[in-house]
Amino acid sequence: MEGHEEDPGGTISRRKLVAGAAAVVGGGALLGAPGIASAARRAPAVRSNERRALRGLAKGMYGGPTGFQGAERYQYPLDSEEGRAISALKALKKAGKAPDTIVVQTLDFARPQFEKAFPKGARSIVKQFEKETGIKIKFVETTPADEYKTNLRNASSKNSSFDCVTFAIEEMGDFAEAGLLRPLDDYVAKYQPMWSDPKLGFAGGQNTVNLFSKYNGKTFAVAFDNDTQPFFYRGDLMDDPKEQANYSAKYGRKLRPPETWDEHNDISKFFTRPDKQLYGDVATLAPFWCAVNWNERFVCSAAPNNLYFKADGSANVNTPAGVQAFDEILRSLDYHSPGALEKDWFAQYKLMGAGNGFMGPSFPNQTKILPGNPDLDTANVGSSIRTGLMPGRVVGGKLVRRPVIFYNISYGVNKHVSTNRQLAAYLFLQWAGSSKIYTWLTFNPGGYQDPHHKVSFSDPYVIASYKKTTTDAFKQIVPRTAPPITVRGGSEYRQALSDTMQRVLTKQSTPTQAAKELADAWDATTARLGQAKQAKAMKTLNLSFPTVTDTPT
Amino acid sequence: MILPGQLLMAFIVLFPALVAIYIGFTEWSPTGGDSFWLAYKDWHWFDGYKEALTSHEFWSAVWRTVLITGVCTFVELVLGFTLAMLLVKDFRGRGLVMVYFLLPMMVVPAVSGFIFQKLFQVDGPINGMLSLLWPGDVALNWLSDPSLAIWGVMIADIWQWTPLMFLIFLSGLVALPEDQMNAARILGAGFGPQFTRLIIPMMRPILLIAVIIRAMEVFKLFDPIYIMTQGGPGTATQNLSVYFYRLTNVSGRWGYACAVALLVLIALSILAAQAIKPIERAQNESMEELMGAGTDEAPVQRIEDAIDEGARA
Repeated sequence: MEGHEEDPGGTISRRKLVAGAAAVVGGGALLGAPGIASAARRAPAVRSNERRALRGLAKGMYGGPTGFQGAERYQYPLDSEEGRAISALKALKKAGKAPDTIVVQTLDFARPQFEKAFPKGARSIVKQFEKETGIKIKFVETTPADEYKTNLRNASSKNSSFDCVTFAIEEMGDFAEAGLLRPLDDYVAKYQPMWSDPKLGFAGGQNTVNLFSKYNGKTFAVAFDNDTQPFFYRGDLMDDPKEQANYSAKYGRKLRPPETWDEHNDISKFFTRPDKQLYGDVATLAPFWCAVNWNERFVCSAAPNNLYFKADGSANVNTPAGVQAFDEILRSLDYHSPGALEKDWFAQYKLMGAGNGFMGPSFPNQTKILPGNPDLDTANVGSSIRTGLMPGRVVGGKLVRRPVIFYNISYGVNKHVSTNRQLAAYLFLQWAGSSKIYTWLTFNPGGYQDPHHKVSFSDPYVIASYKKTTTDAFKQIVPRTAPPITVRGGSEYRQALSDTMQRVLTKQSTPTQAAKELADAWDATTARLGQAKQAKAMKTLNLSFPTVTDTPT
Repeated sequence: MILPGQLLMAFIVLFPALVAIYIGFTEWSPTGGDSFWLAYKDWHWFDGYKEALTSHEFWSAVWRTVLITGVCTFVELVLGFTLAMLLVKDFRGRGLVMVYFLLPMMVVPAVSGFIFQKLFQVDGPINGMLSLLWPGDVALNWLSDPSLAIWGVMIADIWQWTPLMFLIFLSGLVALPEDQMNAARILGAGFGPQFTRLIIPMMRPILLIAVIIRAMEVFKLFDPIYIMTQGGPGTATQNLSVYFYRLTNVSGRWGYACAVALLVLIALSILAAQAIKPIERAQNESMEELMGAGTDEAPVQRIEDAIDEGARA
């Protein structure tokens, strides 16, 4: 029988949560969730597997967590992406080639999900890995503010003191070209992660694999996040019959989550009531955080996508679509709360929790960490927040809706460590980023790494953590998700966009001037980095754009 | 024979300088994949220098740096000197008041940036206080209005570093020769003449040193700006430090950043050489006085001038 091992880090408590922001989703609350409760009513054979999982591995399983109800869902056979990784590591260990410790660079707010045991009775992810392989995991922390510059230094100094590199998705091209990231295609071919598997893979299939993992045709990253931007709104106000009637009377159509940006504009206006401290639009407009809002309005301007760059690598933004995106965001300022240009994602969560915001794009964990959190849900409206799809535009009779990934924690393998360490690092990432282990990781309330596997969105624990409104929406969101600029210079392209947006929002530039300024800045970057080379990489980037379109209703 | 000290100096100063000069002639970036010693592959002679000298963004950053340096140093000088004059005489509770005035200086600059970032929020305490004095709700966008943001940043620096000026001036005032001050006072010179004819001339070297120290520090100002505005909105508060930061840590343009850094270094070296001259002059005068230089005419002359001015008044 497998006994429960006390995790030295302890189980999650409210005070221990990252930045004091993440809400406690107690084990008891999860076990009481509808998904879990219904699990207990399943067929006897399943129940017997569950009982076995509480004690040890279910029949036919090679590894995975034990000790909590539902643990069997995260166990795996030998012939699985998890099983192949673990057996390869065991073989490496047996041959005396495995390192004693794999050193993982990680973001401060991602680390607790690896180290804190959840749910009650479980080991932590790293303890589970250590138990199965005998290899320890050591973390070296960085922060989102430091990670890029730290890794620039690591690349230039060929730092080999850590095995796994963490980075934002926009930086993949930079670190791949810098020689910091090892191409992973040979490992992928050999150990077969199931990222594009129709059942166990990423929700958007191969497009999402391209988006999360590939640069210039090669695999450099293992995805550990899903910073796709869902669209959140206050369900209680949206469903209020009085609001419905007033809106219909004013606009001659039904009040519903906006399908298009025009509709979004009307609804924002309708719900902007400064006398009641309610504002229709909470999209983040602070420097850096604002950039993705422009992407989302820009990419949906053509079917299936309006691309950032033309085929020759020149910027495709000094266009009516580029101007329109700037113009709409400038006009949306009227529906934002005072000081909107200073509000980052955390301020946005607070605004929603205080009942001062009606709707806007945000990060997926809003419904995970806001409801019931005393620091955020100050007006007790968190449970009324619903999740939907990003508004879009009707192009040629098709509705194009394009949430865009922003930031998104990714891991790669440090090219400067020994080949054995490289392999061990990759296998750890394949195991921890797999459909089963990663699902287990994401419902842990200790950190901000969000689910992206298809199976995760039907997982009772994930549903209890993120709420059904979000997990249901994700099934639609991920296949429609467009990439940011992940080619070399991604950080610089993003900065230019953020600066340009700030100039528009502070009326230093008109939308028309801004589109030209942005095109000039992007073209200068592209020219400096080599237009032909950039154009080639952009061609691969274009493969990760979605093709799904909808019918307007 | 090369002394170890010279070797150490070469390592500390010469090596980084040579690397910067070398990289400054290239478009080298760590994201290019080559080590820095292979930067010659991206050799482009003076293109980086030309780009900087013709770059609107560079000159805007220079202008903002000069503006911030000038305003902050001047205000800190005036406030610091005024405070020092007020606190130079002993009074009950003086120690406590001094500690109170010196506290901002003890705050880590990044923390002071964070404090002011919170104070200057639209719904923050500064607008709250202004709303008490002004009719209606004051909702100034201190950090997101391009014309206000730079003043917000300067207020943060003035708050934090006026105490340093105060401290320097106070130590200078305390060290002024009491006999000369007493002589002037006994012979009828009022505060005004004492101030202009005695205190200011005798404090001149200290004033100059304090101004140069602060100007050099403000020129390099980074933490509060980056934390409060990140150089924005847009680039409205981007000084040279933030400009360098973005070049190296956002754009990865280390070659160009080296060219810009060298340009700034050359310009500052010329300015510093000019700035040092009055200090040397003032120092020489003071030394001559201290050493007697054969006579003690200068102090006597100053006292006489103060008395004359007092009499005229």
